[in-house]
Amino acid sequence: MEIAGLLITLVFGLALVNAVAYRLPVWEKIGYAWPMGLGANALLMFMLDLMHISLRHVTGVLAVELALTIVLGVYIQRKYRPRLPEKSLLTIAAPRNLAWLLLMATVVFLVYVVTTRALFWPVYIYDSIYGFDFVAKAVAQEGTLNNAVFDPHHPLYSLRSLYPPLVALNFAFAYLLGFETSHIIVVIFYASLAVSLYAFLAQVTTPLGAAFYTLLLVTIPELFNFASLSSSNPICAYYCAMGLLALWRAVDTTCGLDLRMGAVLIALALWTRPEAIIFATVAGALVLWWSIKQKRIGAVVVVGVTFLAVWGSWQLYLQDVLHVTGDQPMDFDLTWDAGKLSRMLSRVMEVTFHGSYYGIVMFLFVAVVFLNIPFLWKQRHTSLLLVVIVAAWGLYLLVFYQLDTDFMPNSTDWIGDAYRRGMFNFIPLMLLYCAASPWSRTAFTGIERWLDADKSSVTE
Amino acid sequence: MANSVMKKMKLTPSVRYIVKNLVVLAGVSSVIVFLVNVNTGYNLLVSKLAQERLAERQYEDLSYDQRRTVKLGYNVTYLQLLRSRTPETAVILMPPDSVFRKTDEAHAFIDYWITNRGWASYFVYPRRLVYSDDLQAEPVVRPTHVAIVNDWGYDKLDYPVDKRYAYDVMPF
Repeated sequence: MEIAGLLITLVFGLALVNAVAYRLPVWEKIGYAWPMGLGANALLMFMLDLMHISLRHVTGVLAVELALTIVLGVYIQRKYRPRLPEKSLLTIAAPRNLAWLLLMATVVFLVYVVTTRALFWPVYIYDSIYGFDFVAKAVAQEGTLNNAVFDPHHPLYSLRSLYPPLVALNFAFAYLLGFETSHIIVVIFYASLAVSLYAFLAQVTTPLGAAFYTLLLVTIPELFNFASLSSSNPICAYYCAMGLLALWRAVDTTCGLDLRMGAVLIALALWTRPEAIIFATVAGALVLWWSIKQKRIGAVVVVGVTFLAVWGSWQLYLQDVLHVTGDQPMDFDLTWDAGKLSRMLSRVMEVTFHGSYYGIVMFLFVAVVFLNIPFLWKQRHTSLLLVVIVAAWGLYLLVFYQLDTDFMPNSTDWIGDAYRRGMFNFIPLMLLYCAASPWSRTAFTGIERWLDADKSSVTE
Repeated sequence: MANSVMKKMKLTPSVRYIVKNLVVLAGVSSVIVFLVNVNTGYNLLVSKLAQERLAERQYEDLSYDQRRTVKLGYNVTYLQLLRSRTPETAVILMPPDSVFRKTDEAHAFIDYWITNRGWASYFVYPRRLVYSDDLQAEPVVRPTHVAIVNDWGYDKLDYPVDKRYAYDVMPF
């Protein structure tokens, strides 16, 4: 039941991806499939709950997903007949060279290690136990989000329990399928992040380069640790990073494939963690730019309304059904405090460039930014990615600056905690920026050309 | 036939290609080894891989609940005791927070997580925990059981208990 249930969400997700963006390369579709399926799974569970259908009947949820998959399959078959020629998976996955094989084997091995570790240990991190995993357990036991955790006479929720319910509902789904731990959901997102990033990287660099940067992603020490824990950060990182990458790529195209995919991913991010609002703002700007360039203003209106509807649905649910409010420890009036800013930035630098957290990624990114200065105007599309990263990071820092704290050493370490894990959202963007730089492309193209020069013997 | 022989020959990698492959492989391997040696994060990651494998071997015979106690200590051991000895409908009276802070080394509650109502409730759910410190705020709740912690709680019972344990749970 456990494996079958997860496979159904995978197939459901694949059908949804095909319905949204059929012409995407096959690896991208595979990368998107599970996060898309699990995102839609949470939305479906939420809607069933609103209709007072108990979520304990997980077979019912799976039956609806199977039915929708069949309907979408028929729709796709009719719309795209004859089928578009696609490279077979075997051709795409064929070994390139020994170094590529080593890098990819290491990536697969590390994902395997994360999976075994995740399935071995029960949930034990404080944030999840006193947060979304408790909500998930209660949903699995009582069949509804409106459960004992939110009992007004005996409340057991924390601020994290009030986060949008994509994570809690999928954790509940894992428990309902029979898993003893909800960790498997996080592992799926970690693996999907590797597949999706590889698919994106393969479009801007050589296979060897793509494998190298994918390995840099999966070995980020902090992400590697959190991928086998019951944490919502890797899940949010998938939606935010992949959504922004798809929208960044959409800006230079006339067709709406990436635009639709990116918008859907960001909408799902808004249903994952509150910080996604920052990335949705940047995403909105990219969609607006695309709409102006293509003279299709309707697109930005549709995307904007979708973002608002997704975010608003949970806020309304909190207010009107659960009757709870999550008071954010934030000051919404902009004030100037040089001391606070200085203390915050000093801690930000300390955490960002701490080798134990992100390996060499931050150093590599900064080095590539400087090396790319001569190409800023020549490579405008890559420079746009840098603008996206800097804008999102700036907004992210602004949110931390507005927190109701003075960042003194004895106060809550927001930067060492929330900011540190929030950086997962930026890392795939940074790695793609590095891979797309002329320096990296020249290096990896040079290596592969040198290898390919003697690829096959024609001596008779 | 001749074509297939030709095809086979074309697919056979040349010696130069194999050597070049080995050179690039050695280069990539050196980069990985270098990064593991110079960066503390990668270094920790590699050593953690070995530690994790050892831990998984050491605890593979334990149940999920027992593995949880490995991570969370006596906090969870005690909450699991409450769960195993009470029905799902139980409302359990917990001692004041100060009692948890006075325990001995063998029964130390790491970081006193057990005093966090939401955190502790996760392990006994759907049973309900009512903390003595909160009784003023929750006067309508009638506990069905009392948590015995470091001998605290026996005085709440209106019947004599012959065999007393320092850590237990008793019905009212």
